[in-house]
Amino acid sequence: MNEASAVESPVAPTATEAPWDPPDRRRTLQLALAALWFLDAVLQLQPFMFSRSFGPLMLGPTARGNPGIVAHSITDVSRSIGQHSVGANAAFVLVQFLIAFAIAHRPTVRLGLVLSVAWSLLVWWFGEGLGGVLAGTASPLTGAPGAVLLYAVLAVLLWPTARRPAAPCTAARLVGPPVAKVLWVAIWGWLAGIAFFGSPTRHPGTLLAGLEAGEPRWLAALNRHAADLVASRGPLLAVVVGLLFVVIAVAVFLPTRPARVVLAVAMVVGLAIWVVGEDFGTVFSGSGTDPNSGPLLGLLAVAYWPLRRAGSRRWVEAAA
Amino acid sequence: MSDPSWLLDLFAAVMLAVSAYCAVRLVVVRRLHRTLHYGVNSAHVAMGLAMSGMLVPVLNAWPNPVWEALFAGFAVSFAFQSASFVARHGLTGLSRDHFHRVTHYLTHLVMSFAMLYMYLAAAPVPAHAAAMAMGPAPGTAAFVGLPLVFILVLCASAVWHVDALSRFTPAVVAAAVRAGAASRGGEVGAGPEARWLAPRLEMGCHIAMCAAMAFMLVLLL
Repeated sequence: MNEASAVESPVAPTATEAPWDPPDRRRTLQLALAALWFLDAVLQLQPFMFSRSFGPLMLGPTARGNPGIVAHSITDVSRSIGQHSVGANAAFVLVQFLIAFAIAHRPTVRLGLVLSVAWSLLVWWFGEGLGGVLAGTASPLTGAPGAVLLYAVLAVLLWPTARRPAAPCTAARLVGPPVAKVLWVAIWGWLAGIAFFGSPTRHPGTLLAGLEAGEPRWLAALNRHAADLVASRGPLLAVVVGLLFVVIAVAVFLPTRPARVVLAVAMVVGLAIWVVGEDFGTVFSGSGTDPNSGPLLGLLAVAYWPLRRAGSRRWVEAAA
Repeated sequence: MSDPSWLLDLFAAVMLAVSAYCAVRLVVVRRLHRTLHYGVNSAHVAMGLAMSGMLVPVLNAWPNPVWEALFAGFAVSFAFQSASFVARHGLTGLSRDHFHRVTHYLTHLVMSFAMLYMYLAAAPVPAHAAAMAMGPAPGTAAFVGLPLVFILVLCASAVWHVDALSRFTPAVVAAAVRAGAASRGGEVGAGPEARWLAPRLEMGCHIAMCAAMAFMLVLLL
């Protein structure tokens, strides 16, 4: 904080308190989203991103397995980025800083959230190849259906509005409890579907072992141990993880107390995915552009955390 | 692999500007007999100079051990201030500003540790090098979790400050200065020099410093 308010006592307590409210839960979540965009911008400043390899080697491969129109558009864009790597990457950095600052600055928060949705969708298409969903390479263990998609969902759910001040959770303020529930079920149900039926989750050993390259020794060892542990248990792991996601998906239909337990489990799952499956977004390898989906899943769970309301015993009752 | 040199030069220039501004701020405050957090502003001066020296080695004013001792001193000082503030006022309560005040000292404690880490973990670069190809020193791979924690704190601090910008509109600050002057006997005591003390300018410096420090730490991951 600024010392003007911390120390210069004549300034702080009198005039500055009236027009400014400390962040509430929704504002805190918006700031967390802004902090993630800020982190993305800083990661985008890494040397590799300015090199000519960034486009063809990092973005280009996401085209593989996608339908023709998607694959061609990704290949074209990645080639263009490779040809103008410095300018393009500088623009990416600026856009991400802009989104972070716009969300964090109260007068521009709406602009920031709109930009967040637009940029997320662009990155999801051209940067993540639609999260590998159409290519059949998606696995919830490694960030499917794409971290940026969760940025977009959060930007919508955290839209500042005066509607529904008594909503049962922060996520329901704009869209209302029924739509908020549908979104939650859709996200976790989708993850469950990918876990059950996606090919990569059935071969988790290969998936996790492939993460080792470029990681520090301790993280590579963690990957190796995790890969050894699940190598011969692919189908079993797919079923267990899928069932866990189904349980999380129905959390929003549970009474408040069990709902909180399951949401806490969702946060732990997000953390586990972030550490073991995503290697902290591969930020230690010099090629990570964002922290991946783990922290976003945690934020999402916080947004759905049932708020304390006098007399409300069920998430659903409070919504009525 | 190194970043484009213009990027390092740009960050170095911004850090020098931040450092110079905070130094001016210290001088102006003394002339106007206003209160100020001298520790934080002194830390910003030192951090700005040190980071510009890391980014562009020819700007490095002092040998690394001197910087390390300086930031160790800042770390001890901020640790003491954090502890004494919490001991006096607790972790919650006091006012709506309370959380800001607690994190104020802790953030600068983390920044001091981050500076120390950068000096201890960065691979040495010849002083005559034109621009720094900053990277981790061999043997630091086991500690890369630490800079990641620093980076997360810096990102959070930056957006926290951006959020607080809107509480210091010029009108609000002018009213506060008048109110403060009235409580001291009616003398406003703020001429053109007082513009140098604009809170949002100082907060902007902190945000820039967070961005630059996070960028440098990312290079050490």
